[in-house]
Amino acid sequence: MERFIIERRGGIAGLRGRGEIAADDLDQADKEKLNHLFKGGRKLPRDEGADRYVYTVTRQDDSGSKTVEVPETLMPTALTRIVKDQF
Amino acid sequence: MLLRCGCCIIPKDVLERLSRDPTLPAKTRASLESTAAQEPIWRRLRAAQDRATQARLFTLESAPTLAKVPTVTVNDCQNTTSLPGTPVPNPGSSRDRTVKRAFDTTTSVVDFYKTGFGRNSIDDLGMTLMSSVHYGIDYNNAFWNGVHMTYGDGDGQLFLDFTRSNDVVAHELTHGVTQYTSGFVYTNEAGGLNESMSDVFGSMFRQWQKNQTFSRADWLIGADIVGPAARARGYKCLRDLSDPGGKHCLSPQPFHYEDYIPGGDPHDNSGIPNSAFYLAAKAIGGRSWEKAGKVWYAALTSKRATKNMKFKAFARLTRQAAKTLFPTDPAIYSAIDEAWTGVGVP
Repeated sequence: MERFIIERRGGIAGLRGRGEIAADDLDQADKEKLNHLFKGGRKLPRDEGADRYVYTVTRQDDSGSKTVEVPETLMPTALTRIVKDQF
Repeated sequence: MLLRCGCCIIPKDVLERLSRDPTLPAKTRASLESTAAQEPIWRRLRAAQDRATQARLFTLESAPTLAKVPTVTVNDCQNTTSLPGTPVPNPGSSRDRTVKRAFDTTTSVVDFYKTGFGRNSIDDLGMTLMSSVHYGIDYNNAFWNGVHMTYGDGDGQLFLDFTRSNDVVAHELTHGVTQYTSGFVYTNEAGGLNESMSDVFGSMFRQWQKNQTFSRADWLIGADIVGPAARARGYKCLRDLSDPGGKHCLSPQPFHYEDYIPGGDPHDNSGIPNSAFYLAAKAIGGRSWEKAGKVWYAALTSKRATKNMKFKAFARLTRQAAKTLFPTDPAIYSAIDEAWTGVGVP
């Protein structure tokens, strides 16, 4: 079963966050956005400025796992909301 | 604005909408989709913007001033992530406390930089200062996006409204000052310096607003935005310049160079230069912005400050600035020299 593990770092507080979600629990648009982020193989450029969040998204399925680093402005909002602050 | 969204020269939502347009060839649509995420041109534009910003350091004398007193504006994102949001008319008179706080505090930071360091806004040319508030839903963060400051409301548990902490407002605005001066990149030691400048000037602003001397200052970052859930666990702040490794900090930091974290988040390694500033201000005494602050400002804005600077080189700049600014008071140099030595940066 395909699932996504989302980890977050950065922000003014420097706190980490984490969340997981099964691909089946995502709506089609968000699933497509996420899968598109794994295409290309090129490192995604970070957001301009400072104190931005940076997300690491790991896709796990039967064939293994793949991880991509995603700047905050490219993360689907619905997915950022499943991330829980760790403190 | 070219890099308004921080991503693409064509707004990302336009690219995405066009990528779903069935009247366009499949190949075109695929290309648009890819552009939204991975077009390298805007990366080159960003690099060019950085170079242009830095090049201004050498042409400042001939650059016209926009305003003697910069305009301060506030936009309301209305709990969306659309930037910059909707302009709020007369933000200084707004009944929305967040809007009014963002306006009042930013205006005060402008005054701090002007009276304390002779600086006219972020770019020293009277640049209009924009703040966006009510960003996102329960958004537990604030940031500088290369163009303006942005504040979340917090979730009310871990964090409160980010405009509530005056040092947070000054912290974000100072990221702009750094961008327009040294240009410290956001990685490695330069990243730690970038973050440290924001904490140091953020803390100084907080002290300046209350006209506090060293001993009366709390030296805390984010003390006024820590929410009840965090307080219940004993947290009092994001960071503490007087005790970077303290358990009362949501983000404890290293405070000696031997504990520098290679590849670490800039908010981690900033603890080392933060501690150097605190120790220098402690040794000098009085109001931190009057002597230690002036030395730090001189180093930050020095033409010899480079974007990939390491702690040691920045420390050297502060030592030199101490001698230049206070030639008849060797105690200032000694305080700064010993502060850096104390954190392991000779």
